[in-house]
Amino acid sequence: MKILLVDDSKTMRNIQKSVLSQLGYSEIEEACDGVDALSKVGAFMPELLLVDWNMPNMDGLTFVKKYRQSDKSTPIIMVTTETERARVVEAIKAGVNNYVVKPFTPDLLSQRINETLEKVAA
Amino acid sequence: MSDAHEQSPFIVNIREGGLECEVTVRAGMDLESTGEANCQGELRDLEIEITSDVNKRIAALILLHETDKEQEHRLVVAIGQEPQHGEDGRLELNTKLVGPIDSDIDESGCNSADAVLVHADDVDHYDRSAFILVEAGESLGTLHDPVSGVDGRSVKGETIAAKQGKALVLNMDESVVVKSCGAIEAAMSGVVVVEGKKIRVLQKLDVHGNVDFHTGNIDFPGDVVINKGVKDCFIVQASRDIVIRGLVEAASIYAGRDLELLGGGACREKGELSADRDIKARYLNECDLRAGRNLIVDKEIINAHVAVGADLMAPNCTIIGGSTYVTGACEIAEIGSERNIPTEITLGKEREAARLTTAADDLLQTIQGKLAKSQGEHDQLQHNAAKLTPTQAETMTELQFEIGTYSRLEGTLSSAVSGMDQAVGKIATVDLMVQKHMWRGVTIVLGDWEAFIEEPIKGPFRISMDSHGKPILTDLISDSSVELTAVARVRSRIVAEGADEAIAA
Repeated sequence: MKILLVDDSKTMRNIQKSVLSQLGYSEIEEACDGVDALSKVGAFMPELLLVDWNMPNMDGLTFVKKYRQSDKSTPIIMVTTETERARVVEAIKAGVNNYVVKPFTPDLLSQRINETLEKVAA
Repeated sequence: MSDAHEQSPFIVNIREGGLECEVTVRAGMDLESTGEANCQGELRDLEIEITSDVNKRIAALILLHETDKEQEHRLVVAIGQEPQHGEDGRLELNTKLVGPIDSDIDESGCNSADAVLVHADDVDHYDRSAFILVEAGESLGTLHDPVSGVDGRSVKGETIAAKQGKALVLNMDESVVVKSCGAIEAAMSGVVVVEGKKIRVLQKLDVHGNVDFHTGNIDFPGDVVINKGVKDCFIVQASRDIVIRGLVEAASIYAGRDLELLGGGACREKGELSADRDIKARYLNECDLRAGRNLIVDKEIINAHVAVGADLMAPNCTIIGGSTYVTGACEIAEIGSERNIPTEITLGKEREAARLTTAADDLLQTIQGKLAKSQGEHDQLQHNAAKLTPTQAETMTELQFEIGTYSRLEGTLSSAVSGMDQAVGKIATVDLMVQKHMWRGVTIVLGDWEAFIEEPIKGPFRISMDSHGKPILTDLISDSSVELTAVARVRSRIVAEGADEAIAA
């Protein structure tokens, strides 16, 4: 499965990559912000996206809105902080399938990914 | 009838082994209109085949004569067909083999150093090899089939037999295979020996002289016998046994099975002697040696660093200086010297395992330190979990990930170290038998104990562990045992390390 990680923090991307590797996913592409992600989705054709909320150039929510204009079905997990929790509804309306609040443990991220994929498959 | 009428106007000469027939018309002859028929008749008398081509040539000759009767004229009127001889089958060797084969190769496949084709500027002289080594399945060359001949035909129509090519019968054994297409391949890895029609791959490399610049380094997939020694800085590797009849200098020797050093080793603390199974040596002087199983030494081990995976069997040998690790039992004539040379014998330990355990312990401590640091930082953030800034939330996520990673590493490393200890423990024995003397300056490490010999102990005696795990010495004449503390200064290494740490703290 092809997964796109959109986060401006390389450390966070590495953590997510490590969790995904443990889950058996190896086809992973990275983007450092929404603009970078939009430039990569066409060629990479991800089957799951993990998107951080706060990023320079283009934030996660704006990216999701733009991405959903062309792709309605690929599952998106939003990575948020506690302060953004109140805006989760806005994100879901924009087309996010699930969310995970920082700080999260590798187990929690793994659980969110699995449940999102199960829901989409159902 | 005049003489002129009796003399034939034609001289017929069959030559080139019946392949040509030349007719000469004598000068001054008047052939009249029957010239051609007469010439044909003479040729028929000589059983020469008269073909249309022959007739044309006769006509041309007669015409030539008619134009100038006063001259003698000659022409080849019949030509036979030359036989095309066949070619014998032949052996075409690959380039790799051709150079040395043209030179003087002895039974071992070794050619003289001069015959090795190398360019002096771009070669490591230690890596020059005088042996043609091949891998199983490697192409050695091609066996070409003989080519058939085509028979010829004389001017009389007789067959001139062509020489037929003969097949080349190679003298070879099961070490070489010839495929149906003629490709010759090595059936096993080894050294190639070609002598005329004989081609073989030997799994035993017999080096007549020294391993030196004449031979280069040796890396052989089989047994190696070196009839003299191994010179400084050369490397000899074999997948099976190595026997060296002469002295091993500061060289490196690696045997996949047994290693026999009949001339001993004097390595000047350089190089390494290593075998996955047993090593037998006349003596070892300043060598670094690793025997996967047993080490058998005849005379002495001087200032050597020795690791023995099983037993050290040297009942007539003296060990002076250096360090010796023996995992299994150990029998020695004498340890140390009257001059109190520091000599360390470690019993019941495998050197490499001990080194790895130490390295793993160091790594474990580093990991535990990092784990504690990450845990501390995490706990601090955890107190304010509800009020974390986005940066703190990210930091906490990172810390949680680090804690998980370090915890996993700690668990894996701990179980690996304990598994290694258990594996070594299964084969480790503390059993040292000394036949003659153990001198002052000797340190014996027995499991968690260290014994410093401060007064000479006369043999024969045995040092082992009692049922409580304490070292004891048994006099092999009286068969009486005493605690090792009675004859040596003994201390627990665990207690000593604890004390060192306390002092450092």
